[in-house]
Amino acid sequence: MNDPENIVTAIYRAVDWINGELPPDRQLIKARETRLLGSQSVLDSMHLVSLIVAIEREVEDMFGVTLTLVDERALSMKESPFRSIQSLADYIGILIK
Amino acid sequence: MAETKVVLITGTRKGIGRALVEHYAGRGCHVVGCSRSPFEGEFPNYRHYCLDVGDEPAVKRMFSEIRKHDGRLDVLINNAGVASMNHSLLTPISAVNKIMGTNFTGTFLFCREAARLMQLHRYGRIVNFTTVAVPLKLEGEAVYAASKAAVISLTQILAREFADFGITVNAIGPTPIKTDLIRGVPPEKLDALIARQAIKRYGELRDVIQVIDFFVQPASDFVTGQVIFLGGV
Repeated sequence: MNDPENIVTAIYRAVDWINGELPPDRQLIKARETRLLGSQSVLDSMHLVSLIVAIEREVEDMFGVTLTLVDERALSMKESPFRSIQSLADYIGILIK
Repeated sequence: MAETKVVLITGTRKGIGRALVEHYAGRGCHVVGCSRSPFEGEFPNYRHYCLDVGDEPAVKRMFSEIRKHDGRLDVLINNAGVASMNHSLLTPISAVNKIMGTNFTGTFLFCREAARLMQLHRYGRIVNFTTVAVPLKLEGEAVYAASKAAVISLTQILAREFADFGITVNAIGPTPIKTDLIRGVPPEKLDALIARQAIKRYGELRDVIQVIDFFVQPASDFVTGQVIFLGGV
């Protein structure tokens, strides 16, 4: 159940939700390389917070696991797991393994 | 509140919390409550959880159930609290941790989890509990007052952080009310405290409900980050 494809699906569900909050010209593209942080991201800080909360919710619904994505471990990593959808999916995979 | 709302109240087993359950369940709201001990009796539209408000896994489980069962949360009333009257020189760290754990950590935890749920519908009303012991700087209540001063800072900053989600965060600071919370406080101390109020009487449950009703109205959507102390303190 917790294979990488399902994790990406959970993230895409959260993206669908956050896109409902974003204006039409700032939609988050459902692609693994989509950037979540930095100048190439369409998300401002508030929408990034909302997206992370939504991803935690979708992961809980899909895998029955309660995650805290933003913690000391995530913040201390050399490269942020929140760089892109792919990097975040990889990080979630480690957390729920 | 005209339409049916989902209202979560902490510390509902007795005192103010129980009165709030009666009030909002009586108005037809779906009320969820919690306390460390079971709730005695039954109210229509009331569901109870036994937990410690500072127990993060238990609190997260409860919110997960609220999301799945009720699908939303409109109002959070952070009533749960513990008091302790003691000179600082005689206050053990275990008491400090217990007071901070319930009054501050518990309040923070519920605000955080409630806002996660409320932001789904871009609507929410959070009411926290502080105390007149903060502005009155009561001797013997250093730790209790400090924990409740922290609640004021928390309320004012969360009001800003949550504003874009349509969530308001306010606080009420009751005067002494004849509940178990002040059972151990000497009467002369209470009399001296009441003498410092503009209106010199004990608070009543209706005084607290009146202010909370104001904060949680949908029409109070431009009122946030505010602290109302009762009794003219």
